[in-house]
Amino acid sequence: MINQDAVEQGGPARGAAGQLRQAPWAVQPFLAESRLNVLGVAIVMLVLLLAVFGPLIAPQNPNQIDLFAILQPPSVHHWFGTDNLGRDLFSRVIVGTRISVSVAVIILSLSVTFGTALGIVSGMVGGLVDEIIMRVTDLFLAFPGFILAAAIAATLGPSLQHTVLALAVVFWPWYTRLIRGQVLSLREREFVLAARVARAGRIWIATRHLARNVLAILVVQVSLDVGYAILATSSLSFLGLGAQPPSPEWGAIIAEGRNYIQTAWWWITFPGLVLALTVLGFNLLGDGLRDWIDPRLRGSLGGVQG
Amino acid sequence: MSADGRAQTATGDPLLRVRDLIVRFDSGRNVVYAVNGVSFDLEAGGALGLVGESGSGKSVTSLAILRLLPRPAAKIVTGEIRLGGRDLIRLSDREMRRLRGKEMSLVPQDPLSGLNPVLTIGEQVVETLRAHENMRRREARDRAAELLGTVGIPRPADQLDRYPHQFSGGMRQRVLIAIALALRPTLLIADEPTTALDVTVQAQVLELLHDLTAQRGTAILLISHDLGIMARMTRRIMVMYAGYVVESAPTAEIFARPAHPYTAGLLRSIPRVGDAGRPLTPIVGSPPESGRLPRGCPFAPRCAWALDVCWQEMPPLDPVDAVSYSGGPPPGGHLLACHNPVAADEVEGGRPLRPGFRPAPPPEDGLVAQGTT
Repeated sequence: MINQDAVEQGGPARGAAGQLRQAPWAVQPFLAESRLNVLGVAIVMLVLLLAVFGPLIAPQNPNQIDLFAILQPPSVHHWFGTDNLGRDLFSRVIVGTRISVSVAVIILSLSVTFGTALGIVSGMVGGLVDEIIMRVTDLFLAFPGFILAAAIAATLGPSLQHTVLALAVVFWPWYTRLIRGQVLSLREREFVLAARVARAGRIWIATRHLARNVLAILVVQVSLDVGYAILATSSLSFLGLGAQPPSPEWGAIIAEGRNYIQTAWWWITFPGLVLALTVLGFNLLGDGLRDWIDPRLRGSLGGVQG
Repeated sequence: MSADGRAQTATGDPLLRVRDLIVRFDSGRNVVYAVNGVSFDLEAGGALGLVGESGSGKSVTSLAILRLLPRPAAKIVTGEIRLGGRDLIRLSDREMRRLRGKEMSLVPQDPLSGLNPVLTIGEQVVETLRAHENMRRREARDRAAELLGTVGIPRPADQLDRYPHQFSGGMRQRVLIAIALALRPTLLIADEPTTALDVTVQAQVLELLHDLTAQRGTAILLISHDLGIMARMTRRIMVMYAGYVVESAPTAEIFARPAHPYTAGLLRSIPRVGDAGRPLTPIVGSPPESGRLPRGCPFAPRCAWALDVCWQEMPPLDPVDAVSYSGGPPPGGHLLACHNPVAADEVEGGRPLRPGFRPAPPPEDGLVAQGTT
């Protein structure tokens, strides 16, 4: 099964291009590949649905204070229980999905755009420009990412916007490195030569020929990173650097609830579980996509069932 | 601009004129001369073959003509490349871009990587057309379909929206030929256009290339190490070794009277049906690293005809007949760079038949590296 697929796709590069192109209307082969892919897709779909329709689905206003129902354990009325102000935690977690997802989207849009552009420039121009860009990424990568983000967020002052900025600053060098490597190998391929013979200029080659070729690998990396971005945002919020109360951001909910860990276990347990599941979902999706696109990597987690 | 160029070629000048081209690769640590003073002419509508082993400078020569040598490593040290009277070395990058595709174009070596895997066939043909001609998308698509039809792709209009991986190697090479000929260039460079193809498909693709260039009067510079292809496709063959042109003659002449030991060796290493049972005679040894050439003729270490002088001095490329021509060699001539040419009766045996002759050993002071200081 595994070998047959590898042969049919004829190689990672063509596999990548061919498969992603069909992806939107041909998800079935991807789902059939592994049950983990199904799980990943299901979780991600659910999270995205909640992010879009959260406020409509939530049974109560997430900030509605009900002093007659404080610290209620999970029940039919309050699936995830209530906090010390009587707010329905289920509603808060659902509404918080939108914050987490949109924050992740913004972080990744910023870092992917910036990182990819620099990566293409670095790989195509080469020489001194490449050297400078690479040393700058080294500078950023030398710090542990989370510590750097915390430091930046703390310096700018605690707020969700600053957290977004801090995380984008931490994420972009990875994309620059990834894309530069791809461009270095792509630019030696003959179609780039052929395009140049057909009079294409550098900008044309970069935007049309190279950018579209790195798209596949970019999609994989982004789907993996969404999980990390959500986790990192929540972590910073938990430390008080990100979203501020009464925001229903997951990390912020957990931060408020940690003092009640002995009396109201549900307060931090359910948001924590949802957070963990979301990250798991994106990681499964990214992992599955990576294995699916590059048949050489099959046999790792996603391929066990195939 | 292009009208000027064509007018000049009509007055008798060759379409492509290359003189004393020297290309140097400089990787920081060592310097390599990949092309060492190559000169040749290619008349409009002509067909010139460039033969040689890997690393003999064939592809570098073609990239130099297109001005697409890898920068900053490679550099044209000296030389003159004129296409229709214009000195390509002096053109700006911008002027050069206007020329590529329109006046000269390239069929790349490998049809698998010659097409961008994520763009449709149609997009890639249309892109070339619209890069040079002010065309509506619709119009360009029709032209593209028409072009695919001329290179023998069935139901061309239906193929425009398909991707390269849905095509076979031979079909992809046809697409690349369609792209290369899209704007009716006056010069087409084909760098081993069929090496990556099945033998049966090779013949079809060569036939196509031959017909299309003949129909349109496109001059073709064919690069290959396959003399069989050369015999069919070219009017003149230039044999390169280690960046030097060692022999250059009309195609029939090369096959009938090879005079350079290397050319004779190349010819003898082609298997023929009649020779079944006779062992093939390979050329002994391997080509020199371009970075460490002997002081004299680069072929001397592998040559059974080597004289003492061969180790000391690279012979110039001169007409085989001792008659001296004024104003450069005639286009039809047989040019040779060899101190001790192969005699007619020695070709078949593959070694000198003179009594008592032994190839000269390398001189005492050994090989002198050229280029590395």
